[in-house]
Amino acid sequence: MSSAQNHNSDRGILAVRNLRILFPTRDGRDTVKAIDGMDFEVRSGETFGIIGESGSGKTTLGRALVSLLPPTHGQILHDGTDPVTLGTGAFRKHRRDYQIIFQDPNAALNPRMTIIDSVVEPLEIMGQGDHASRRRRGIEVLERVGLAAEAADRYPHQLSGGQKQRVNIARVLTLRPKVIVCDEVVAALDVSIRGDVLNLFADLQREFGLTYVFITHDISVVSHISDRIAVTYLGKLMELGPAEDVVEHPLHPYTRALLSAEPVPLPSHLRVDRRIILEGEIPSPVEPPSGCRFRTRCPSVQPRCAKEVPAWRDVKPGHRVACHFATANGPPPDNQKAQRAS
Amino acid sequence: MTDAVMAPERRPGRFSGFVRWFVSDLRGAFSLTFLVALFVISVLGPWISPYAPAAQDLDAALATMSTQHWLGADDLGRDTLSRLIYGGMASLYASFLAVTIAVLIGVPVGILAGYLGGWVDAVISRIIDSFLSFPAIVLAIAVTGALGIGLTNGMISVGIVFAPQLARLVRARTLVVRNELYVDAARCFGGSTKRILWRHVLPNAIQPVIVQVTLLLAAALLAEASLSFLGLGIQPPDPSWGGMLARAYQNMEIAPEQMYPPGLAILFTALAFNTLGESLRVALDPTMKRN
Repeated sequence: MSSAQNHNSDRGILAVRNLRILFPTRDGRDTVKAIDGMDFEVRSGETFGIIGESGSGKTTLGRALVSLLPPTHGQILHDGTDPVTLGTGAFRKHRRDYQIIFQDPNAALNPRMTIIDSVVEPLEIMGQGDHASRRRRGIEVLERVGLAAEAADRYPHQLSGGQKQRVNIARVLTLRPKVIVCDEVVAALDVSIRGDVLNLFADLQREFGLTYVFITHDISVVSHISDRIAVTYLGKLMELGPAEDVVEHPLHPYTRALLSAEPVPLPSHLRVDRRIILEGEIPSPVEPPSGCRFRTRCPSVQPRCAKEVPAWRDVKPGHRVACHFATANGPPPDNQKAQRAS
Repeated sequence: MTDAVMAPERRPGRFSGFVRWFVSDLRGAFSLTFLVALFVISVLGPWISPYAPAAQDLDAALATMSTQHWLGADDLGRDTLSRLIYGGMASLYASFLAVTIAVLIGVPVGILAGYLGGWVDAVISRIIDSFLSFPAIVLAIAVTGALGIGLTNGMISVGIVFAPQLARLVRARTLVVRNELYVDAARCFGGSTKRILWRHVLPNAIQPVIVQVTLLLAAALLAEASLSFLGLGIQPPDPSWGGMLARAYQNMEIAPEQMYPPGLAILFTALAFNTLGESLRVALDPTMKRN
């Protein structure tokens, strides 16, 4: 299996090309630009983190990556294949390799099906084995993700959020997918069990050679487990690079602001970093700002930012940024507007 | 009150769990018992009824309760109890026929409209709206006119009249369910539309239908009574509760007590259906049970 995975690693197991996803607004007169031009690749076997605030198009992107939403423009290639071009039967077979785990572990389970019925559903769809062997396999997988076999005959409402998320993981694993998109998978869980679930993800990746796309608003989660990180803002990528690089030496003013918003477990007078407070709300994706979309909140904004859309360029090898003024040394300096918080 | 019953640590089988639950719900148990008894009595009618339902004894016309005629006799001297027993079969048959037809038409139409959306939904919804804009009984009379008079035709038309109500209900639920994440998940596993509709959408959209079906059974019972009362349902001399009520109504001033047996039979049966529906809704929803 792993040898088959490697042969396409040069073009990425997921390749997003000039992706745009637009929704009509409720009155039908305008469009919401949920994804407005994104280009990136996910390499086989890596954990690719995507960070963004709410409203940045993360969830739309996640759904599009597993073909739950069709691209309005551009392409999403799965291991070189565009799933849109496949026939119904071939597409149903193909999509098993590209799975998603949702933020709300409860809503992802049919309330009227027992846990085991939910877990073996993918096997049933594939037509694998008989009822008894599927059940055996389901219980094996449940145990692998740390659930006791007693949970098998319960209903979702009888389990905790963390347990339900494990069920969702187990269910996806029965398919042996290549890629799992994790859409805010720990956001709905208690902090106390987040670590366990994240460790489970890491173990499973080693065991099954999985590729993850980890979508979250929580930079501490993403920096912990990702190999590379992409930062989204209002439907566009702002920065993309190796996780350590992005976290330690951000090149985009937005990434820097996001990172500074992370709570530091120190009393305020001992903190070295200044917190950069972004002014205002994320603008409307119906009418995004001209030029650079971050300019309305950027502490380093210049007149040029309103006129020209910044290029999506390599500033360092493997480290891309969409900012006119970012250099390999870091983001542009703040204007006087940058505020200091105590 | 139900805690002791609801807290077994091992999950029992589906059936025994259902029985256990039912024992804890006396209202539901009582309704079910009533309906089962009614059914048994109707089936055993020919053996247990004291007289033939159409046997006339003009000496006993409009007789009041007596040891001869426990519930009296109608204006042609036919034994009310016997007619009530035979009429029960006709009424039950009529209600179930109408509701079965309503479910067979309404549920698939509603699910397709809700799941497919777009122009299919638009067309179906407009048809439903136009059906709903007619008073039900008027529409039933019109359909009976087209199909011919008789209990079966009458109830088929009642079923057709009820179907849009169910379709609309199912459509609304389907619109909600089809956007659920578990439906998306099933799509990601490569599940076919048929499978998704059958395994995920139907079970989760059907719940209000179960309640509505019992309400419709009661309504169909009344519709049968109305149609028979108007002479469009069951034809004399065959008995039905609605027909008996119509007959008793004509003699209301001489023998008012004649209205009570069929009237109360209709009332209690309709009530039992409604109560049973409420109980079923709770019993069939796993999230309503406690751990």
